Amino acid sequence: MIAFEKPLAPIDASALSFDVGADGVAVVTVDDAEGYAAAISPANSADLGALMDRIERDAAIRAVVLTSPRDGVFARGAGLDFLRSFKFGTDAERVARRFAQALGRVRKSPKPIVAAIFGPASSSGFELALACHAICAADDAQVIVALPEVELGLVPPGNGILRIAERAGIPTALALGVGGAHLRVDAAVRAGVVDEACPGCILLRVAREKALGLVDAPKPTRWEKSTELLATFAPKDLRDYALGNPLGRRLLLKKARDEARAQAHGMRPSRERAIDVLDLFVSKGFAAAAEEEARVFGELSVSETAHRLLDVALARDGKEREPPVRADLAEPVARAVVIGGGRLGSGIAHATLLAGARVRMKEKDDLAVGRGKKFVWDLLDDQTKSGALRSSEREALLARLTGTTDYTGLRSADLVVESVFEDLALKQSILRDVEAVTHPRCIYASNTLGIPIGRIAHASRRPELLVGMHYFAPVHAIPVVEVVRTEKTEPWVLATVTALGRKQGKLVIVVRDGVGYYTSRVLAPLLNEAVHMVSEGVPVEAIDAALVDWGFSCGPLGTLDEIGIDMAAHIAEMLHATFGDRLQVPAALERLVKEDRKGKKNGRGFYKHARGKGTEPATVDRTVYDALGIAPTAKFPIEEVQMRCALALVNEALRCLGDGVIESARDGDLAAIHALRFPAFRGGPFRYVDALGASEVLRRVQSYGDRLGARWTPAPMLEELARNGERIYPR
Amino acid sequence: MATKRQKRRPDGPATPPVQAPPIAPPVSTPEPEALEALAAPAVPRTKTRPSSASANGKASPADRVAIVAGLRTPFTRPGGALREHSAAELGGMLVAELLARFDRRGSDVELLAFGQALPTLRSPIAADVAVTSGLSRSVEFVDVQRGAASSLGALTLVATAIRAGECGIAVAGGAESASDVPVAVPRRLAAALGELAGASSMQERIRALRAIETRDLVPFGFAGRDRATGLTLGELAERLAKEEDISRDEQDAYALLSHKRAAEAWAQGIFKDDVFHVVAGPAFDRPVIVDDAVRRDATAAAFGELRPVHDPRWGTVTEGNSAPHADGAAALLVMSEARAKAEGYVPLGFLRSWAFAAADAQTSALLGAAFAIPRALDRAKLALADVGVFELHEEFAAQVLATDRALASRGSADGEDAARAIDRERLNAHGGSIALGHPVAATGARLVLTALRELQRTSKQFAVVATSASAGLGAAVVLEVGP
Repeated sequence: MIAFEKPLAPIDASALSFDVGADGVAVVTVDDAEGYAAAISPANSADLGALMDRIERDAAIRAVVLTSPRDGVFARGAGLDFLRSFKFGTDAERVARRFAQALGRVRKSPKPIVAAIFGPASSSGFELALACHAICAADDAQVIVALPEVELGLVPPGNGILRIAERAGIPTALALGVGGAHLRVDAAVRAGVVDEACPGCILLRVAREKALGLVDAPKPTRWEKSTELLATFAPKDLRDYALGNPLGRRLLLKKARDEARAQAHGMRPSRERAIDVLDLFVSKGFAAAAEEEARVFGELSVSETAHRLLDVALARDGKEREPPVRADLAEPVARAVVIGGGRLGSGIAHATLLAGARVRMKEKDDLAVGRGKKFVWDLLDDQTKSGALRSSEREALLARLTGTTDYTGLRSADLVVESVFEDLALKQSILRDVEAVTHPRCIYASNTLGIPIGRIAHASRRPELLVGMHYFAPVHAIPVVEVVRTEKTEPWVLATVTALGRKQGKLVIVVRDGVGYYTSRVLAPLLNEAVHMVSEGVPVEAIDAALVDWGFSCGPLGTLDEIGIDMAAHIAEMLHATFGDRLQVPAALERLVKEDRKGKKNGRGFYKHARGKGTEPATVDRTVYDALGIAPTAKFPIEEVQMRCALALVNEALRCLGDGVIESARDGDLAAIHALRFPAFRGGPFRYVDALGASEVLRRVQSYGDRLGARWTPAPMLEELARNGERIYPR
Repeated sequence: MATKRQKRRPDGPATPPVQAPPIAPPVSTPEPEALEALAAPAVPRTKTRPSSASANGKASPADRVAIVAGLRTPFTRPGGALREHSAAELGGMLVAELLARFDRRGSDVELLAFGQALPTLRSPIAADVAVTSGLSRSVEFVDVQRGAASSLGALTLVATAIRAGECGIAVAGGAESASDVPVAVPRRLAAALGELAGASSMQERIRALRAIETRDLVPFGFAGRDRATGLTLGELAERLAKEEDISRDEQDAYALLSHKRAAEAWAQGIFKDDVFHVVAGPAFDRPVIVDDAVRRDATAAAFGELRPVHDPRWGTVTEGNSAPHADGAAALLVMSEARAKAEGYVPLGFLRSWAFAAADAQTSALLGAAFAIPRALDRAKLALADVGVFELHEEFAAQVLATDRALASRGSADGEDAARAIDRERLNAHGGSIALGHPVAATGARLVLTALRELQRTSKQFAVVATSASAGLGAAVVLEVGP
């Protein structure tokens, strides 16, 4: 697995086609094959050098167009497993340096090289394009440029950020290199990252002309080059003016740095490091910044954060590859009905529209239908404003959404997703109504927080078509759907909803039916523990701050307010009824429900919730302490707060794996990270156990058990792992 | 749907009914079409009407043209609740809902015929509706411009295609936005602006602008004058009322009846299933659910107070006894009888015959329907007396009354009153365009939908829907229900 011991794979001759035209332009088409993908990645910089040798040697070549087959990825970046393989920072640094040098050769090539992009170009592939003398791209929706390395806890190793800064200025470099923005072709042209956009059918011709134009263009002198660089800072508007002086640029970078820090609580150093590199670029120039970039890449590549993020990305990649269900059984979903147009229902409708289905949304009256449609419209509109959709696409998608207040138009539905209030009787009665009008092969999916699908299925005439699809609010932002299968769910039903979930852009985690499934079941002990600590006198804000500091994006008590205290108590009671005293509902939680504190929805929770859209920092509603009859004076070490919450989740997750609720630890990690926002850089609950060591986790759980009682009974699997000194994931 | 009249279509040779699709789930992945077929409810297939439908569901000559479903938006006044939407948007929303409500995939509609009578800069409408309703991108579409007969024209156009076996499923309808009538600039200004846009030097620009005179700056709207007579429809109605000696009182009484009937129909929920609640963006918070021109509290006195529009001194045609322009859309889902049956639909009714007629606008303006109706009835081998339901477009009260008289004078009168061809109980039983409003190209489809519903409600067998269109044209269709 160590890259440096692996011989560099030569460029696969079959993957490269070299076509020198009569005009002296060589069109180098590099196939999307593994060989090529590796060829330009940092792993195999030497081969890029070989390519350049050939270009330079061949006298017939006057200029080069570098491209991929039509509709293909321009150039795939380095493989995730390669990035994950570094053991020593110096190795990674050397790779980065060599890659940057190879790209530097492209840049310095006396023969102009033009990149012609037909498909997505990201990571190293995009960096290669940036190193070319010009970039031409097809004006096609699938052309997207991005530098996603920061999301993996790294910085782009091929001077990509710096080249963007050169071409398009600091703000664009920040957006792409630090913010991880994905730009569609029109946005990329506007930003100045891509030089030309034209219809794909003439792209090669345009790139060719561009390349020849560059041959004939007089070479800029050193002086011209430097003024050209200066011109990129020439003020176009006020913001540009501010950026035109070092002070303005400093301010911009400082602001970006503050934002990065605030977002990640110092846990995701990659953003700040990327800003450091840009900072050096501004103050000391390209060479110094490139030097620093290689060093930073080396340092980050072996960081715990990057390793965990890469593990998660690898797991997700693997998840897509490995079929958890018989994918071949999946049937198309052309018409879907969503029952309930609330936040979740509308979010599901939106995702389903994007997955290509026609959607009919059922609500109780016209106004509710209107609210649901508005919700979908706003999401589509935001996507249009951000450049992800064109306005014609927005209209076309909205045209595929209809609303209804009765059960008309269900007869032809392939799938009905019910997303109504968490109430068994209600869900059962809707199921009966729907089954009376749908055709006998219409899948019925319930979007439910924790009621077992099997219980809802008691009301069904066709339980084999029942499945759970547990989405998370806000649906468009949380990329997970937990698919719940009962013993009766037919394989083709499971395959169909899984395929739909993927088309919706979701990570699909298939779990076994049971109270709380996986996500709600592991979240409940964490929330319970937080409430226990409140009743032990720990201030609300201290608990939430501790967990945010640990890496959660939202504290548990804030989360309770979000999902609704009554709802959480409802799930907690169901879990208690099923699993016994281990999941005893904290008395304080029941008390709050009795006091009619439901959280955000009725404006009475742990925090003050202003009506309207005020997004000021939340302040704790201190009456909550009176309601519980306590004084928030206890001072717990921050680590205890963090560990009690985190390990409560981890311990239950181990039980779920032991019980077979989830199929693998990887599923459990991915669901926790993407749905419950467990800190990604910790790799998920199971990776975390491996990182901390099972025996250490067990020791802590047992010590809490001694102090706090039965709810801290260790999961059998944890005891076993500790006893045998085993890991969950192989090393 | 019991049949009361004796006249029936001659039955063909007895052949077995169309094979019902299998209800048991297929083992392999079904095509969307197959799923669609599965979607059909188990309708009792007791009717043994013979059919020689081919396997692809296309019509054979023995097949009738079935109107499977219909829907319309509420009709609202110009500047009213639907003012934000262009005709194409209204049509798109409506067709999208029509297909969704009646369980069609947009992709299996083969032909869309859609009308719009008032000119806009977004014309032609059919292409727009095909896209905004989410129909298949390869659907064939055609625009139909026949004034108030546009959606009847669309219906007969798809019927022709279905009868010819060219398509199995079609949508016919029309939409209008009276709120969205464009205002034009005089030609000289338009030409100058065009030149300006193409100008490459300041000199050329100045030259282009110089050509404009002050009077060129006055915009103008759509006049809607009849080419042959040089008169507007209102002026023609005024002339007709005078020539036929139709009094103001008669006209007002008819208009009042239209309002009373429409108000009553709304109160009884007669239109409930025909009118789609428009909940549209960008705010989505104002559902539009009723026709806003209907006057519940209309009185003869109130009508009497209105001033004649076209002839203040001798005139009788007022805004009260004319159909108000409106925003709205209406559409019908049309199939071959065999296709409808195969998919488990119980059609609202069938199109039995139709006719268009052109009358001399100089002598018989607005009386086109009186020429078209007998022709359509002849083709259907029916007499006026066989017709249980009449839906006649009310462009003007005077025009309806004159059409009735013209029919009577052609000797087809029934009942005791020789001056009346159609007794009032059978004519526009739930009000007409005067009360409901007149989105020009949508009105025909509304009339068809209302007539079919009324046939079912009253267990009658035949209906006639007719409208005059522009000055001299007329259109009539004969509908039937039952086996």
